[in-house]
Amino acid sequence: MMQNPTNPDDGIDTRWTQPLDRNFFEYLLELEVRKATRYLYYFSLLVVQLDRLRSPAPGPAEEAVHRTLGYLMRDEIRGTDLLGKRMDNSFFIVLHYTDLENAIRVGQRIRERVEHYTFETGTENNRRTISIGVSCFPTTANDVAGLIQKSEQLLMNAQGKGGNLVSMPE
Amino acid sequence: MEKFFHNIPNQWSDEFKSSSVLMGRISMDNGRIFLISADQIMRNYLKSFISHFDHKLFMPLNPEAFWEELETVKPSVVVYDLWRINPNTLDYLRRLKQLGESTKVILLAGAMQLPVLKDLSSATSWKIVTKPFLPQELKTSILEAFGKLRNTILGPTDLVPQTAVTGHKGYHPQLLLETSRRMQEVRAIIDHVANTNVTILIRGESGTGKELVARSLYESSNRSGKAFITVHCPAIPEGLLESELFGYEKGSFTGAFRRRPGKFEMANHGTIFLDEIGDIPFELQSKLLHVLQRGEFALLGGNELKVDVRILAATNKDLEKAVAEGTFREDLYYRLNVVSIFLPPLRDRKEDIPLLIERFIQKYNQQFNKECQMLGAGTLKRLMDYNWPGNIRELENLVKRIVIMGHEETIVQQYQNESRLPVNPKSVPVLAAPAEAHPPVEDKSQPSGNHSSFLPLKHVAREAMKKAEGEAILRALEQTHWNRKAAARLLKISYKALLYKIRQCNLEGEPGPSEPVR
Repeated sequence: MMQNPTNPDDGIDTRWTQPLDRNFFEYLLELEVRKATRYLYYFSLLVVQLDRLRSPAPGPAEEAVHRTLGYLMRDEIRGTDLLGKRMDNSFFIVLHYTDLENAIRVGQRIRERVEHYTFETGTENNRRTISIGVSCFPTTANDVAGLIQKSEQLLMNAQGKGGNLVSMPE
Repeated sequence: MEKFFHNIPNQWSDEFKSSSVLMGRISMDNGRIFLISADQIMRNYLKSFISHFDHKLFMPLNPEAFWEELETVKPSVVVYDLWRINPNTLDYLRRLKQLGESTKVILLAGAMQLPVLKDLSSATSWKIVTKPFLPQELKTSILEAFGKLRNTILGPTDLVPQTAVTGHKGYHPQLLLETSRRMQEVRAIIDHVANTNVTILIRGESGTGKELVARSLYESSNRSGKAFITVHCPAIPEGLLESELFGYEKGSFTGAFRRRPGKFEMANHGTIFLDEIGDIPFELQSKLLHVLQRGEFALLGGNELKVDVRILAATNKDLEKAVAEGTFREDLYYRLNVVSIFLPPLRDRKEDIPLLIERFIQKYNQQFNKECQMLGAGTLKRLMDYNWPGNIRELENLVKRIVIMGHEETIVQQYQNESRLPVNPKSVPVLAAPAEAHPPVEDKSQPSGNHSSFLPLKHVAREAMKKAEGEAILRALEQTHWNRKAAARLLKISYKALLYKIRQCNLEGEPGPSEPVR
């Protein structure tokens, strides 16, 4: 468990909360697809985004929330799973050897952790929620574009239904 | 050979442009590239290709206009697309040679034109790129011409769009080379069926290129961006084949620590290629039939899954015989045999051999950094006379040996001595029907006027097996007083198979069970 998730100087690796450009993110995902095809295993892609507030916190505070969110997610997944941030401020998680059912379980766990967490924003808005879209290779799609598209679409579905949801393929 | 570029689709250049991020812009220090081609389609393609190089591009309207431009601009590199060889072309090439060593010439020529160009292209400033070529080959040639090869990181070829890597219309480059009538027929069938979802059965002897055809079908289809999963059925132990194809649930057997997807699930929305499908165990054939019929299967120890997979299958076995013998399901056979593509053995299309040799020499020269030249006429003739029981694979291995070791004549002689090997009668290929049996090979070591003819060993084995089977069947029929059902049980084959063999061995004239045996 983390000692102090809000302190970036607490020896916690901040690399996985730095945004990746789309090309590099797709390159990573392509590698994952190839590995999973070769060694015949499932992996899942979760796309996570903070639900919008009616009155968002000021810039620095919002950045701190994103950073903390990254730490919380890192804490809930295995050390070998991939976590990264995309340019649009959404996060992605790649769970190796995880089928859809288990990916949804992890998604729910992350959602609940965030739902009950008290963020330090310096305002009254210290509770936040997230929405998550979950897809699975090869169950949902077996190519990079298909996986991303499905996860993003499911994320939008979750947000459209009010947020604080984990959305999965039917 | 030039005809393969007549149909370059316009989007090919767009796909190539989309890979420019990966290829990168390559500075040529204001180098001047002249492009000479009489073919508009090739001009468009080359113009798009060369746009990735930072250079000045000059494209004379016709080959003659090139000499007028020369009066004002000295070219660094000339890329000349050779169309036809005639006295005018040869004269043109000689004039190009007179430009000297400072002008690098890259000649795009067909393989059949190479012997004619041999003398002209001996200059060190000349480079021949054989059509059809991979984009990487042309890129390397241009970089070499500008002396930039060592200092440039070449882009990852596996990220270049597939249609660019595999050439015209998704065909593998080797398939494009083969110009014999029979291979043209194969390509015509590929064109017809590639973009449909029908199951295709590719048939042919071992080493005839069944996997290449499967790849071409996949690349030419609308599933080319999706998965292509190959399963070589005989390579997987029988007991593991089901779990490999269909996957398993966690806990379904000892050692199943996690749920694992199978090849069919991996190939969802894509294509699966089942190589040597005749070797699939009988018990698994019904499950495979279910997938073919309904697109559904169950993981081992798990629930049903629905998939959308296009199935390509290949075999070198006589499936009709296997059905008759009861070792292959008849319903599965009919499901697979929607469209069949028969690949002719290499001995039936020997006109393709020189082109294939050329291609393999190029390939292994590059792989092993050698400079092996095209084989001499005498060696070529000996190779053309050989029957190639191992087909293209055998030819490729021999050429590889020649490129690595050199001494083509010695190697060919050694090879011909080594290759008098017994043939396993079980591997008698499907397509070598008795009607296609080869004429006896003349033994020239015998004194003239006393030629003894030798039948190919394969033919001998086949006839011996047929005779032995006939004798066994006749004994069984006599023992059972021509009760065919009892005879089938005695011989441990199906009744249908026995009837087939009775016809095959011409035993039908014998008294039937209703007639008393005298």
